Amino acid sequence: MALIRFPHSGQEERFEFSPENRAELERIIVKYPVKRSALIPALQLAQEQEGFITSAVMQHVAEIFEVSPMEVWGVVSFYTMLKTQPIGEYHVQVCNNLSCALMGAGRLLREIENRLDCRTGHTREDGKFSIEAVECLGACGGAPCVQVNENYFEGVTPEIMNDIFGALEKGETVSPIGADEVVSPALATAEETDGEGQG
Amino acid sequence: MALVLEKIVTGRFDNPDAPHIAGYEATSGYEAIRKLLGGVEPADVIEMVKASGLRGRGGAGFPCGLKWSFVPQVDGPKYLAVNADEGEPGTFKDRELMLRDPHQLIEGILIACYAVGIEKAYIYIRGEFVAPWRAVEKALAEAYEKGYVGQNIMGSGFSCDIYTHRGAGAYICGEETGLLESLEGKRGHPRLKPPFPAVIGLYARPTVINNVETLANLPHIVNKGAEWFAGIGIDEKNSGTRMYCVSGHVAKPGLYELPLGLTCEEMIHEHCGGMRNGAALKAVIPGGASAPALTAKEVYEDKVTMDFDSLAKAGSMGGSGGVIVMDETTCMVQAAGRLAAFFEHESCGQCSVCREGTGWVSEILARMERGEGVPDDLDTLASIDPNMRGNTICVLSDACAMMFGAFLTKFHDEFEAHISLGRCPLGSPYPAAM
Repeated sequence: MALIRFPHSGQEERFEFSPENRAELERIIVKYPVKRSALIPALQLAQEQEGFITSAVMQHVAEIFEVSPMEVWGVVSFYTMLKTQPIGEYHVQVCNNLSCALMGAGRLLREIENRLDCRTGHTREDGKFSIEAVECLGACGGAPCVQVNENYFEGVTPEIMNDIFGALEKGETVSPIGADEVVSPALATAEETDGEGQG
Repeated sequence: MALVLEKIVTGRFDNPDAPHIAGYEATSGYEAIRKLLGGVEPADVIEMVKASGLRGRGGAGFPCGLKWSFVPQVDGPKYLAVNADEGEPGTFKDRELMLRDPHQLIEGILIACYAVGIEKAYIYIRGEFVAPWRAVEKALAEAYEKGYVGQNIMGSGFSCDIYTHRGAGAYICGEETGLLESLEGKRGHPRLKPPFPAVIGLYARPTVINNVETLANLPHIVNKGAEWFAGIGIDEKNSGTRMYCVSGHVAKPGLYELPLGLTCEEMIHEHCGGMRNGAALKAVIPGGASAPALTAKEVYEDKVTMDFDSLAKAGSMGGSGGVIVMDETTCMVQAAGRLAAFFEHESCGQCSVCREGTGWVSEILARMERGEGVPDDLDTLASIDPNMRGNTICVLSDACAMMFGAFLTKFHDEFEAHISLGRCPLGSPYPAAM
């Protein structure tokens, strides 16, 4: 069968799931009474394996789910986390929705661009970092929030991000900065006044 | 009625053992479902939840028990879709519920499934939430191992499978029928209603869609009774607590579980440490980006309370519980523009009114902020507003219109000043706050 070509990709290599991922996909498919429900999970697995969704991935997934490759492309193009271009080793997502903007996300984004010498929406030449300005990450209490690959970093400043990028550049691992510091004092407030009637 | 400060769904948040099944069991975990399976009729569970007054914590605030009662008792499969696609700007509670007390959610799911006669539940978790997804997966494995989930639970004959399903990045999949489409492996295009999902939902079968926080309340209602729950909050229609997600210019942003019915003023000044740097309050978005903003006058003089019905009466809504507080340094045109850009980005594109409307509003507000607004812009915005309401498949378009409509009406002078001055009156192209 002829491979479809997409203008943004142009690749013609074949794609096959690794044996582990193929087995994982089978485990996912049986969760649903209708196989098609596993289409997006299949694309997520393929993206993990390949780094991004190539035309060959879409072709292969279309065959598995017995739909047209354009149907798969329709799904891929709808979801922001499904990537049709390679992204950097570290995917730096800076929330720029209102709560983060109120806490300085605009300045933070510009500082991060300068620090990494990379524009928003681009990948640095060495392939190390991609920067993306994203909508609400659901961590507004710890604004501004930056997600690097899987990890959330909350309540960060340009200085903190500078240290994080420095560590990543040296190949060190960094721990996420969670909302603990943010959530606990807030809940403690309710605890201190527990039992008192209000209003 | 006194408003009792009682932690319900966040009660185990300070307990590091809560995410583990032993820690959950040690704090009355899985006792509620055990009690139900011991001989409470499903119909009585629905009545109990109705009597508790529990309303949906995801956005619309629809009474939970009533929603369940719409599901026809027909043969064949019925489904529960758990909405954990938390994406409403300003909201960050479901993430913590999944991370810190995943078994509470699982038990809530079991209770809902038992009440409605459902044997399969899918937890739709937004794709960015990797750690919460792992926490739920781990908890599910433990619960399966212990026989709380799966076939013939505790020898009762009741079976229920629970699965996670990860989203792939689309706000609109938090809209319940968009979620169902996405769960079916398609683009997250909301469906025309009616038929409502209770009748024709996932795989065209009767389906209940509940928010994480709504479900997390259920074990407590079963354990302590509907009357206890109804006694917390301001009245029987606004009962229980909410997890208020407070962000922006307060001294102590964070997650606060508080009874329904506190005033917005009490929330900011008694619980969140007041305004950051003692600055003056300018506006509060009380229930996520879709909820129209309140002014300082509404907060301090009208003493608006943060329950569903009072916020609706004030022309806003309780929405998702995301409270975004803005002080005097915040430019209202920029704030409205930022949210309009969000709605433009997240419009699924099915309805032209929404696709084009959100884009135009976003563009006009952006040029106004750049100082390039023209006098006609205010009239144009005012004329777009009614066209974006009530004319689309889902309410994303309405949400955008309600958002900028409120900003435009309540802060009209500030919008006019941007045009007459040819710049943002608050100063630089990037005001201090942003």
